[in-house]
Amino acid sequence: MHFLRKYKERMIVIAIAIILLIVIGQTSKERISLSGIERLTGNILSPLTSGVTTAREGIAGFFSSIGETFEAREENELLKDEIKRLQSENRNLLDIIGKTDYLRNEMELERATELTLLKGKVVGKEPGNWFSRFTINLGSKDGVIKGATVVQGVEVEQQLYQEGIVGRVVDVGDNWAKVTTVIDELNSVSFKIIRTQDGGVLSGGLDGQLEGYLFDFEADVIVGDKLYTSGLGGVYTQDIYIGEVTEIRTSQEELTKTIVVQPAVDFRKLYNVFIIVN
Amino acid sequence: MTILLITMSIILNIIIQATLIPNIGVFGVVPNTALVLVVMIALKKGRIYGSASGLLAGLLQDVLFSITIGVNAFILFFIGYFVGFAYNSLTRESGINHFIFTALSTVFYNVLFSLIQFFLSRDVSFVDAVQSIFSLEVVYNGIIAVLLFMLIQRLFTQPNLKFGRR
Repeated sequence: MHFLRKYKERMIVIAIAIILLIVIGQTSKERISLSGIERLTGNILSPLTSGVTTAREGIAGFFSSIGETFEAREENELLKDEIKRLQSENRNLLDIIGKTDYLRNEMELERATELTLLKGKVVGKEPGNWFSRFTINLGSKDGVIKGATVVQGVEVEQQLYQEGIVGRVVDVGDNWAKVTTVIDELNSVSFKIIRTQDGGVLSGGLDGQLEGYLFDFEADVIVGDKLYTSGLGGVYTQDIYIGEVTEIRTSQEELTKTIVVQPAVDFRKLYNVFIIVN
Repeated sequence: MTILLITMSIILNIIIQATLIPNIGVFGVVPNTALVLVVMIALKKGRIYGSASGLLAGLLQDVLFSITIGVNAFILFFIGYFVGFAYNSLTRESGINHFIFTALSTVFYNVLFSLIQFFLSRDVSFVDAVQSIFSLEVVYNGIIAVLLFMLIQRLFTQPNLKFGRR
């Protein structure tokens, strides 16, 4: 007992230290809820701290209101800047309103699709009229692979939104990719008519329309038929909407039926596209 | 009475520290007034009061603001205890003493804090630790300690009146 009495103070200090270390160890991990004591302490002191904060804000507000009188001129300048900023913001909003249809299509597609889609932004379009190509801001880092099909949301029929074909990825960088569209002259896409399941091949033309022929000369095709990709050749993903037939030409010599198709996607207004990754 | 006064001052300090002090940071460095207070109590009242007030102030701080309970309590407890040893050995109180003890305690606090963070396997790099140990806070705390000391001297020192010659 003499020992205990002699080192009483040190014992207490060490005991407190050990208890605190245990508490640190116990509480260092993620805890689900506050303990009762903590909650009580917090409950008592939080109103106090918030009261003091309010008081401080009040005092600060008083002093700043004196200062504000002198700052009126400066504020005027600031407000002018603000007006400019708001005007430009207004323009941006008008821009969004102009894109409403297009954005709605995009949203509906994201909701309805069964494919895994990556959303990319068109960052540059190929200058010149020969090719219809553009670059997007996604690349191999985002999982884009060469040959992936690029689509956009389109309204096929009333309230029916599907993927509409845009093109395919032809070149992939780290954080960018080149996309060539189906209306590019060098690009061909194999299709099927959804009504009769007849197939054929379409290729781009200069006027933004698609021209193609049917494999079967006798095939039944009428204006207004809807075309989907057939997936033949494995270039494009299957069952993606292409567009509607607008014209049918029959040439006896070549023994083919030529059709003209209006693509569903408006290639002049491409802002965002989706890349199919599976 | 002393205990009540100390408790009140610690609670007052935690409220001020949570509300006003963050607004008077210099270069993003905020003074640790709890530490200043604990050092002052330890220097004025000895190690028992020092360690007890350190424990209380630290626990309050932990419970209110941090997820891990006990880190501040542990450090401030030992600061109060060790600084309290100087209580008897100092011949006279002066601002310089308070400055030196507060500055040293700040370094001690930051060293221990980094060590505890390290042992709790938090992501604290060595450079960060060294920077926080020898930051502006050392000087800042010291200055606050001197100001507080002068204030308390002014408030509580009895005027030394002398009437005539003895």
